[in-house]
Amino acid sequence: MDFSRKLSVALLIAAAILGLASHAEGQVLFSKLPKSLVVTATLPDGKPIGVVKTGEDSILVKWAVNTSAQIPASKVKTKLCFAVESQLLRGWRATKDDLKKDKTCLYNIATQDYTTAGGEVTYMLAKSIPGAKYFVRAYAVNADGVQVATGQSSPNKVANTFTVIPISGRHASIDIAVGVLSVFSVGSLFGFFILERIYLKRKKGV
Amino acid sequence: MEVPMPSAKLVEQPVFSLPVDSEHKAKSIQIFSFAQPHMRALHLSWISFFTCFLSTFAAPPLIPIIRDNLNLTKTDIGQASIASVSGSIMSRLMMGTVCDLVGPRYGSAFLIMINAPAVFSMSLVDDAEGFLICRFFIGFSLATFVSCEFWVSNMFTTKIMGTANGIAAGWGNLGGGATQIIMPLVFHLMLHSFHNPAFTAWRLSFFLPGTAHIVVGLLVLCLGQDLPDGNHSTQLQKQGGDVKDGFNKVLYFAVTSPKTWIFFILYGYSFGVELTVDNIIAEYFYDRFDLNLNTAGTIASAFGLMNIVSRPAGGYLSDCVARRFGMRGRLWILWTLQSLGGLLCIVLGLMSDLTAAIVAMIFFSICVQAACGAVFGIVPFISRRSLGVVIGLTACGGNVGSVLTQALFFTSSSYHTETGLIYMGVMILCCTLLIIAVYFPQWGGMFFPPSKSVSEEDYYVSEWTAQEQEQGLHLASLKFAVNARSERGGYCSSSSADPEGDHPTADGLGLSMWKSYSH
Repeated sequence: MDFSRKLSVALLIAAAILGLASHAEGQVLFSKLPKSLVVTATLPDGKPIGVVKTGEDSILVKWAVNTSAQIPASKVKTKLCFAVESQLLRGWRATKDDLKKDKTCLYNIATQDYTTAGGEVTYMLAKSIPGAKYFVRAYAVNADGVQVATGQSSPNKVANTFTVIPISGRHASIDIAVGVLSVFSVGSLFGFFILERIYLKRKKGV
Repeated sequence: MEVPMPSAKLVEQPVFSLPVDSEHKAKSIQIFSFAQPHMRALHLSWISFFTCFLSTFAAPPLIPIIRDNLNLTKTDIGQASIASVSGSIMSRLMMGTVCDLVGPRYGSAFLIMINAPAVFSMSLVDDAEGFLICRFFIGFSLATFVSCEFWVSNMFTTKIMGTANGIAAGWGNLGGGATQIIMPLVFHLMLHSFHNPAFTAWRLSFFLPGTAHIVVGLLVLCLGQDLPDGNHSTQLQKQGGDVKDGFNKVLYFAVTSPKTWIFFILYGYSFGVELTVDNIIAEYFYDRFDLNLNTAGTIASAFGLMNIVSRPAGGYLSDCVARRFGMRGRLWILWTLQSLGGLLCIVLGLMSDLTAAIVAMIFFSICVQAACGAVFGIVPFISRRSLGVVIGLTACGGNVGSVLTQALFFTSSSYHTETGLIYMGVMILCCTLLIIAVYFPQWGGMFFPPSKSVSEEDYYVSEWTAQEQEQGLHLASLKFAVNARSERGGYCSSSSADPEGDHPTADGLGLSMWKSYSH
């Protein structure tokens, strides 16, 4: 008893020390990234997006480079990001400056090769995307996957955002199954109760 | 003590596979047996309680998906979690009466099977309100704790009742841990093997706990038996000698004892903490450490799965300490375990490294669950007349504690979950200090020795008025009081009173001179 207590205290101290050890990793801060990319998000025919549905509608994302400076990028990743309105009271979507901890952009659109001519992609919204207000952001990443430049379709995450309507996930077959099983549950319970009463009455009568 | 039975028909003495006492309650536990009636009742009761925990905490490991589907905010999630444990506050109180009226077999089967539609309805919710209502109604099923304890108490004799109760309650609580592994796995199955979109897959996952409710309910009805000698309905005729006590009287003695309310709070900060953590821990690991759903669920499940040993161990530890130090030892061990739990909760909130957090969580779970077991090592001694109501009130306290803790620390967006954990740990430490106020006149308290003028008989019989004592209604309490002498501590097993052994008969002690003592 005494030994195991000492052991657990020792383990706890060891764990605490480990916990205090800081991570030595290169941090990429969003605020320090050069805003060298210009990103626009429209409907495939060029009109501005108002409301789109997942699983049915597509959006057209275009990105271009607006600086003559050399950017050491090899790929461009475009992502769907939450507008401020959809981040309220939802800490799991919070914006952090350290890009390793940032949760603003959780959904990938495409990864394309970096060229100074720019690029575009037509993206059909995946059914797993939740209903919220979004904008599009592009990151230029180098060969190691570290972000070196960025750009987004909304200046402040409030203006120029669009609404995505999600699927509900419900089907008629689920509704029917729920109804049938619920009736079965309650019905078999009362059926059993009544049958047992009848059986006992019969036993008493015999 | 043989009483000649005047029976015209000679009934065969039933043969039991376990040694039994005069009430046909088992004197030992054979855990791998399913024999009728004792072991089967134990297994059915923990399985039914397990199923209810499975369904009540089926939503938390899937919250990262559900919150996206239903567009929930942190406040919505927090309120639904509170609702999930507040429903059973009333249902636990009522379950004691239901068990008295129709027996624990029907009590638990009714609850489980009527609750099944609520579990299935979770597949149909579209918004935060529906989610909250569903979790509220599913939470009612946690009242199976009362029927579980009631059933086990009917089947096992007082000496091993603590261990039997600890096993039944502990293995039932396992459901809260198992569900954190099972639900993400079922979700994964629906998502990948059956190619459903995520927002449909989680809805389909809820058919598993719902079906489990139906299956287990039918098993309880078909295989279960209320009492060692038969079912409640057949025993009703034989209960001429058993007194139906007045509910008001019983409630009075439970409610007016300050110890009841202290344990209400104490269980609120041991079991209540366990319920709270079951609700928040998977989401905590998913969000703070960036794990995927299955990994977060597996880690979170470790919390609930420790119940397989820690809760029975807490009860067993309480029994061991009582042998040497009596009730005062039980109080000290409870304080130690619960305070350690509070400290480790603070440590868990402070850990920002994944391995350290997991280690802290595991030790935290062991201490908190052992404290739950230790609480029920003491609660049966608070009152004999009002035992059922005291157990029901303590059980409610667990839920109220969880509601309060979640409302205070885990619903607001103004601080992170890890800060909430630290505050919860501090609150545990503060509430645990209340144990100092627990005082049994015949055995003492943590810092106070027993009063020399009060004996166990005085304490338990004082719950009956002189008039009731004249009618001999207090005799069961008297038997219990004599058995309870073991709580004085320092006893060798040879002199501890055996209900069948050499204790003085009730007639021998006489019916005179009972002082009314307010405790």
